[in-house]
Amino acid sequence: MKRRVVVTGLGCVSPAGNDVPTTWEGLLAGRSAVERMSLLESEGCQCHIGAPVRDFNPEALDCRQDVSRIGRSSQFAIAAALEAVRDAGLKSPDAFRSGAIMGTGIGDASETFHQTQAYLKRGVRGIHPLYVPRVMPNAPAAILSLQFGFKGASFSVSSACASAGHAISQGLRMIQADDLDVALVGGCEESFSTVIYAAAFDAIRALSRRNGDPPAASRPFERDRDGFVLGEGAGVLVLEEAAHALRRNAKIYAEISGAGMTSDAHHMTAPVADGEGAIRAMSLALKEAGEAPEEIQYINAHGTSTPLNDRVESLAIRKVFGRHADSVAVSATKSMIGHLVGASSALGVIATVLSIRQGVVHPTINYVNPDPECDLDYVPNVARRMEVRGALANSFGFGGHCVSLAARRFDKDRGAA
Amino acid sequence: MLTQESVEKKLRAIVCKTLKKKPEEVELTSRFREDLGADSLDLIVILHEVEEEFDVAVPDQQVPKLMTIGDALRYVSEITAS
Repeated sequence: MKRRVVVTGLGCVSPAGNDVPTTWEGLLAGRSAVERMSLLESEGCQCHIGAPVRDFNPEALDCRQDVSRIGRSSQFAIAAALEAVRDAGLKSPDAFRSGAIMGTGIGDASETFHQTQAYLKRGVRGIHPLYVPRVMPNAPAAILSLQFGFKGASFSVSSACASAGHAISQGLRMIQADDLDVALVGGCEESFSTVIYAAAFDAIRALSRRNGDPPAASRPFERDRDGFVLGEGAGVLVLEEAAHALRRNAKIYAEISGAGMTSDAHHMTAPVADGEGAIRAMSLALKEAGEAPEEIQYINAHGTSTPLNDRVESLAIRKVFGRHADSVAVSATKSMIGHLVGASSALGVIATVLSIRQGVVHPTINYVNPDPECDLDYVPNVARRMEVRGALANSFGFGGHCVSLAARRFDKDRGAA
Repeated sequence: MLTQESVEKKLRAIVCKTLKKKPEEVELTSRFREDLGADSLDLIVILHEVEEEFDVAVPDQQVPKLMTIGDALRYVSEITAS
């Protein structure tokens, strides 16, 4: 029988707050964390808005390593992981059966920017010896392994905005395959230690330019959306083999019941117009979970607020769910905290499992004028109390990477699919 | 030219910052590894900061001889004087 996987701990650092309770409270209240950013404005970007992490003090973290050895995105990761492990009440799991799999889109590549400047000023002697540990994309996984003494598999994955989705899927697979009993999974990204990422997403015309009204800029599925808002942060979940969690009487948020991973094989930055990759990802997740579309009440959408993503994702949901699509609540976390790139899916899955556990889904804010091409129930503007027994969480990345994760209320007597 | 005193002050600042020590925890005779808990990466970072601060290049064969702030102080004073 297939080993089942549950979520027993949650942690995050986000534009809405530097822990899960604060972030979740902000999401349920429908509060925008988007603001005007003087850095972007003074540097001459067309987009002047973003959703930064605020009041984050890495020195205050109970980190076993010197935090100056890791970059800012890894610092977010360790903060989120400390919260998740504490939340899970995980004391000392078998080190050889515990691992860390993290996703990041760009990671701490900002270090390359800083070191390039040092090089231009002082030549090779200006290059800092900590450049490698700070910039290596596996740093977030490594720092978690070091922090908790986890000696099972640890590594990072990268698939742009689907990175955390792939990391969570990989943790699921490794526990299912009996390689691990416990996996810290999620993603991290920092976006504002230099202007270059915002400038780059701006150059590719992906960002909203609604500079006059930052809180209204991220408006997924709404008619007047004009691009995403760049965010940053980290989300970490403790995944655990179900029997392992039951044995230690852990609090179980939900079961991760399936993962669908596909590729569009179409374009470096645009989703395929008919949503084929997204459709197959959602279908595969449902198939693995052994669930019919009718058993899903909620979808945490990728919902970026770009004209193309939201149209294609809506179309894909309608194709997969048919008439039941009208009965599914779909909401976009990014409407409030912007796009956390490689961490975004971790925040989406955290919101999903909290919805299952607490019976409430957060809204999609800034929903004013419906777009005829996005015709689903997006939980406009106000959180909704509703029973969520089964859910999907989508993430799609530049490069055509598609991930859909299925989660459901954990029922220990339910046979594995 | 840098005075001995100012070199020492800068060296102490580098060591305290890198090893997260308070000034009173650091003596001229404190050994980086044994007394101050530095690991290999810390030593390389200190070396880099020293090279940057004093605009010198420390040859690799010198490095094992620099075991305390006092050693570093003598070495830096010597090469900045010449």
